[in-house]
Parts: sequence; structure tokens; C-alpha cells
Amino acid sequence: MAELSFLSSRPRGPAVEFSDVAVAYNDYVAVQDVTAALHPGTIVGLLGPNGAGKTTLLRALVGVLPVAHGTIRIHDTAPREAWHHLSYLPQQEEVNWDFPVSVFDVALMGRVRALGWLSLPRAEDRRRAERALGRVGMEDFAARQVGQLSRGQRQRVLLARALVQDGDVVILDEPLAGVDTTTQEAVIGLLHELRDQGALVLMSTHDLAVAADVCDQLLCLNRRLIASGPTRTVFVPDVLRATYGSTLAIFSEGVAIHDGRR
Amino acid sequence: MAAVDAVLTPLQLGFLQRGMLEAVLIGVLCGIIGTYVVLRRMAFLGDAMAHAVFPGIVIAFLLRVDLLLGGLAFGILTALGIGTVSQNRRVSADSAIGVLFVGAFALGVVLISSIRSYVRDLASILLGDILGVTAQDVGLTMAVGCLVLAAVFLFHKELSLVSFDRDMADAMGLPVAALDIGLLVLLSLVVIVSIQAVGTILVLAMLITPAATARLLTERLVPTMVIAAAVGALSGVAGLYASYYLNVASGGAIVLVATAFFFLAWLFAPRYGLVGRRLRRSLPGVVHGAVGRLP
Amino acid sequence: MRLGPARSVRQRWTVLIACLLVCGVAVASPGVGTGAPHQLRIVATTTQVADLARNVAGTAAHVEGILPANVDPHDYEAVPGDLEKIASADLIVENGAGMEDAWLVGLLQSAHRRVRVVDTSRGVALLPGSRESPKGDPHIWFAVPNAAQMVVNIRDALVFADRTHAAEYRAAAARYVGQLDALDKYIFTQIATLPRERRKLVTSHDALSYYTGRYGLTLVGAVIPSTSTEAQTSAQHLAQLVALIRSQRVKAIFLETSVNPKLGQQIGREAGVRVITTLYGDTLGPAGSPGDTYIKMMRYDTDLIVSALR
Repeated sequence: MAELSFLSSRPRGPAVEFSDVAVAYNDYVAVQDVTAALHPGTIVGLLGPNGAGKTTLLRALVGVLPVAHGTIRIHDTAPREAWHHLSYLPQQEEVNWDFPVSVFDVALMGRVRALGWLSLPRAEDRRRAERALGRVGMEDFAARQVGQLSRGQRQRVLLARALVQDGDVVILDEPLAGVDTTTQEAVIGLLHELRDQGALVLMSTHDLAVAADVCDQLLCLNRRLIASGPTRTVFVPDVLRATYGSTLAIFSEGVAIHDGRR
Repeated sequence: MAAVDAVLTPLQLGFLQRGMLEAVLIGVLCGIIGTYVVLRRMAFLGDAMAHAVFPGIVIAFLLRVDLLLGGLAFGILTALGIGTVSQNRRVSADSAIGVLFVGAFALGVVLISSIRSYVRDLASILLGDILGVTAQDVGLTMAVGCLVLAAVFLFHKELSLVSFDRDMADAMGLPVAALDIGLLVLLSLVVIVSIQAVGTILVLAMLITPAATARLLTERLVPTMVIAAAVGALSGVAGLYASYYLNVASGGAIVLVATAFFFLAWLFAPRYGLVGRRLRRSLPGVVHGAVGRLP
Repeated sequence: MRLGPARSVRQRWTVLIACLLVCGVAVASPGVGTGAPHQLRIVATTTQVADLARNVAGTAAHVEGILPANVDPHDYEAVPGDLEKIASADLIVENGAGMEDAWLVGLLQSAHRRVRVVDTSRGVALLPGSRESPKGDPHIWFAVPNAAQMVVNIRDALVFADRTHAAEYRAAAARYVGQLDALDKYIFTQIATLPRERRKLVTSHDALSYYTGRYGLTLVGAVIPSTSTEAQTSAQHLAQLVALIRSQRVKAIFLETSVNPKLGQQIGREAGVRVITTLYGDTLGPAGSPGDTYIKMMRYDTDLIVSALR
């Protein structure tokens, strides 16, 4: 792996800081009371039922939504100025998959901002895109039109694009939703790699088993912050019940959510 | 060499030389911008811009300034208006477009009714006047063409990203609202110069039809633009020859040729044409749909 | 309630106020003058017809026109003000021969009035029209004797509608027809100064057939091949026209004030001939212009044609 290691080049201290953050749109407060400090070299899981405000919080983090109260700092900078720190995997649903771009084109899109206006991609940018596609196992599909891909393949392409962004704060919105096991394993493997290189990985997920397994820390949301901290402290029945309410069923082997997602 | 003669004879006339050149330029411009209109599902918006420039032209006439400048100013105003009005979440993009362009057109109608003397160039604005283009008009079209092509080329990666994944573009810090409005401005420029050829009523066809034809023939973005440009230019030229040999109105002829091309592609395109797909279905042992989904 | 004197006082006041109201309404209602006799109100459609009517009406009747100057009469769209004019008209004077077909009938229906409409084209021999003008060529006024016939029709209608001023109308008409006679001679004289092979005319549309027919010119062709400005033109037609202009060695082409000049200028450029843009065709000019009356307009057009083709 030729990707840079983040640890050596970034200052210590929290990569992401939420200070009493509330996010609202149209007078509806989607989420509030979020205070947390997230550090490099961690995988953080963002848990909560539908409508808990997970996507809203992530969108505020990347600077797409304004913050109604409190502040979000990324390496002590405002989100919209910290774009060069970010790798972002949004949800698939808003993407125009009919637009005639190839897998390679999409991966390359990760460099759009870094290149700046009026610059054309160079050989080095193309190499990055190729490498990213390799890391997600899509190198054979480089010339394929994205409209022809399966859901899992599309997810991997968007992930490759996020990798090309080469940020040390990796934000993933439901990266494992609706994908096959192969893709899931590939993605999780990649997240571990990123964490070991010193990145902060923040991902929202519905999969509690994965969350317990993969994440070092958890943030539990239900329109406000219920709990945040190391997984073994947070991943307990009381907290989970407070987060998911009556949709939760707890078995001795693990937990299940009754909202039809599993 | 009757065929060569047939091709060359009309070209001896100055006004047809200029007309053909203008038709080619417009076909290319409409094809390229039209690709974005079709891919981003902006057909309604395209229609809106074609109508929105109308009051600008009327006002320009009243103020005795260049009609095309007036049209452009109003096109840009409408683009900005649509962008601004639809920021309010209670107003969908469709509604914003509908409200503004029909309002603008109505303004034009009201202004015209207040003019009591003949408005010289207005009939040609509605239906096109490609046989009347002067060398100056062609020059203007070329200048606009260079500007539009340069913009499309220089901002290709940003336009692609914002068309494919607007959210991601926003997250990366691109000014998505400005890019949308920028595209609308390019669209109004193309609409204004194209109105000379086919008028406000038919210009939408020049934006949509060649690009829709191209989509039947290729899947990739740049080839779509190239084919759309080629089909647009060919339609312009063929339409003018039809006007010459068949004694029919030029604007309508151009659009009819473009539409004919579309139906040819719809029937006979190698991968997506009706005939091709029927044939493939009836052949045994062939996995139809060359583009299967892999696990 | 007290009866007796109080009640009768109130009664008298009521009656007085009622009378005043009735009188007020009677005075305020339109059409009732302060005693002066009612002046005949004539509404004319086109600018030419309005001018002819004014010359017959003189001061005895009031003439108002619908069409303003420089507006194409073939596809005119009426405005609410026109309805008002129609509503208070005693007589409507139209060109006839299909000129106002597109809009006058609708206007009259909207006004819900049955008004006498004078068709000034009665008695005029019509030239054949085109697909857009099936009744015939409506530009009858371009031959001066036709204008004289129109004047006669107007006079007869005015005399019938307003007997008290019959003598004035007859006198005015006679005077004016005399002027038209002089105009007719003038035009013949002027055209005669042109050598025969120069007497070729190309115009915006076929408006001048009566003119060329009477005064010995040839209408070589028109930019819009029709007697109505609504017809569209094709590349073939323009090319043919250019070829025709060249082969007939036409010296200049004439574009009318009310038709789109862009195509005409294109032809002029292509064929290398002068393009004159100020010919009065479908309409008179606005007040103060060289073509603001019928006679002035005919003289102006004639002078323009003769000087350009000489």
C-alpha cells in the first residue's frame, strides 16, 4: 500500500470536535446536544434508528448543512474550510446513476477539488484513481459505465472515490447498507487499513453486530446524543434501549432491531 | 455529376452560405448544451429559457438596444430567479421554473400589446429567420460558440461531478448553486443565438432531439456530446437544402430533419434500437442485453 | 310618531330629493347633449379608409380610425379601446375585399352591436388574390380610380345616414375626387419619365398589383409570395427571386414600412441592388410623416419609385 500514513503528518489532539451541536432544517431540530471528541486512529460508529439524525449530523460535519447551535471543528477548522481533510462516502440514493460516467471517471472525481479550477487531471491523479480501484477490487471494471453496476459494485466505486480524496477524516454514511457479504468484508478490511494508517473513520450503521465488532468507539443518537465512548462501555443493553426504544430485541447471542432492516 | 451539382448550387448564394454556417454552428452548440439538458432532465428548464428570453427581446426593442442582448439579460435574470426562488424549500424546482418563465412570457405579451406600431423583428423571433442572417449574426454566433465550448471544456470535471452527485460536489466544497446557474447562463446564450435559426417555439427541439438521438447510440458522455453536435449540424444543413429544393419554411424543415434522425436511431440503433432488440430476442442461445449485471 | 304637518314636510322633502336624483341621472346619461345636435360618429378601419372618410366628412361628422400607422392590417389584433370606439359608432367604414376579415367580425360580435358597415370596395373590380386572401387582392386603393370609387361609396353612406349635411358631403366628395383626378394624372406623368425596361418592381409582398396594373409597371416578384404578410418564405423562393432580379435587371427593391425588412435586405445584398425601406404599402404613415394622407402617400411612393428606378 502506497498511501500516506497520516499519523506522522498530522498534529495530535482531536481530529473532530462536536461542541453542543444542534442541526435543524425548516424549523425541525433533527439532532441536538451532540458533544464529542473523536481522535485519529479510531473507528467510530454512529448508531441510531431511522430518523435519529445520523445522516443529518454527518452532512453537517462535511459542511453541507449549517449548524444551528454549537460548533463542529475538524482539526480546529470549520468544516467547509477543512475539505482537504475529508474523504466522504454519501448514501447512494441521491446519485444520478444514469449519468454516463465510467467507474474510472467516478474514482477520479475524488480529485476535483484538489485539482482546483481549470486544471486537467494529470498522470499522478490517474494513478491514484487506479490504486483506489485496486483497493476496492474494481480495477477490472474501470471502463464500465456506472449505470450497469450492481448495488455492491456501486458502493465500492463510491468508496474508491472517497479513497482518492485521501482525507484523514473518513466519513461513511451507511457504507454497508444493502451490500453483499463480499463487499461488506472488503469494506471492513479497508476501514481497518485506514484506521491503522492513522485516519479517523466515522461511519453510521444499522448493523449492530458490525458496530460492536469493528468500531472502537460509538456515538448513539436518537435525535440527541444518548451516549458516546468506547464500545465496551457504550454497547450495553441500557444504552441500546435508550437509543432504539421499543424497536430493539435483545437476545443472549446479540441484538436485533425490529424495524425491518435485517 | 448531378449530385455534386445539387449540393453546390445552393451554396453559390451568399445568404445560403451564411445560413448553412449558422445552422452548423447552432446545431453544434445546441447538441453540446442539449446533452446536459437531457442528462440532467432539464427539458422543462430548456423550454423555460426559450420563453423567458422573449420579454427581454421586447424590452430591448422598446429601449432600442440590441435585441439579442436584451434577450440574454432576461435569460440570465430568469436563471438567477429560478435558482434563488427554489432555494426556499416550499417551492420545488418545477414550480419555480413554471412560475418564473410563464410570468416572464406574460410580461412580454403585455408589453407587446402596449406597442401600437409594428414590431419589426418579432415575427422572426418567434419562428426563426435563418435565411436573414448577416455576417454579423454569424460572427456573434461564433463568438458565443467559442465562449460556450470553452466553458464546457474548462469546467468539464466540475460539471460532471455536480451532475452525477450534487451532494458530493457540495461536500467537497464546490459552489453547486453557482455551477447550476452557470449552466443556465450558458443555456440562455445558446438559446438566444439559436432563436435566430428556428425561433423560440422550435429551439427546444434543437436542444433535446439531437442529444436524445445521441443517447440511443452511445453510453459515454463525450461521445454523446459529439454525436449530438453532429446530428444537430447535419439537421441544420439538411433542413436548409430541403427549404431550397422543396420550397418549405427553413426553421420547421430543420426541426423535422432532426426528429427524423431521432426516429431512425430509435428504430435502428445497434444496441438500443427497437429492431436490434427484437432481433436479439428472437435469436436462440443469445444472452440478450449485452450489459448484464455481474454479482 | 306624529302625523300632520311634520309628516307632510318629510313627504315634500322626499319628493324633492327623488326629483333631483332623476334629473341628475337624466343629465348624466350619455348621448344627451346640452342641446347641440348629434354629430355623426364614423369609425374607419384602415388608415387609408380613415383618411378618405375624413375628406368626405369634413367638419360635419367625426371620423375615428382603428388601425394606427405602421401596423399591419392583415393580422391586426384588436384592443379594448377599439371596442369602445365601435360601441359608440354610428357607422363603420371598412376597406372590404377581405382586408379586415381576420378581425373585424370578431370585434363587432364582441361589441354586441348592429352597426351599419360600409364596404368601400363595392363597385371596384378586384384582382385575383392568393391562398391567404381568397376573396381577392385587397389593396384596392393603389389605383386612384378605385380610391375615387371608395370615396363615392363613403359619400353615399354618409348622405344616407345624415341627411342634414348631405349637401356638405356631396361638395366635399366632389372637391376631393377632383384632387384624386389630378393625382392620377400626376402618377401617369411621373411613370412616363421612366424608360420602359426600368419599369420593374420588387416589393415585400404583393401589395402593389393595382398600382402596377394601372400605371404600367411590372411586378417582377415579392419577398413574401402572397398578398398577405402572414405567409412564410423558403430558401427556394428567395433564390428564385434573386435570380429573377438579376435576369430582369431590376434596379432597386422596395420594402414596405410595415413588414420585416431583414429578408428583403438579404435579397438586396445577394442580388446587388438598392434596397429602399420606406415605401408605404399596407398603411399610411404617422402624422407628420411624408405619407400621412392618402394623396401625400401616393405621391411619395411614386416619387420614390421613379427616382430609384430612373
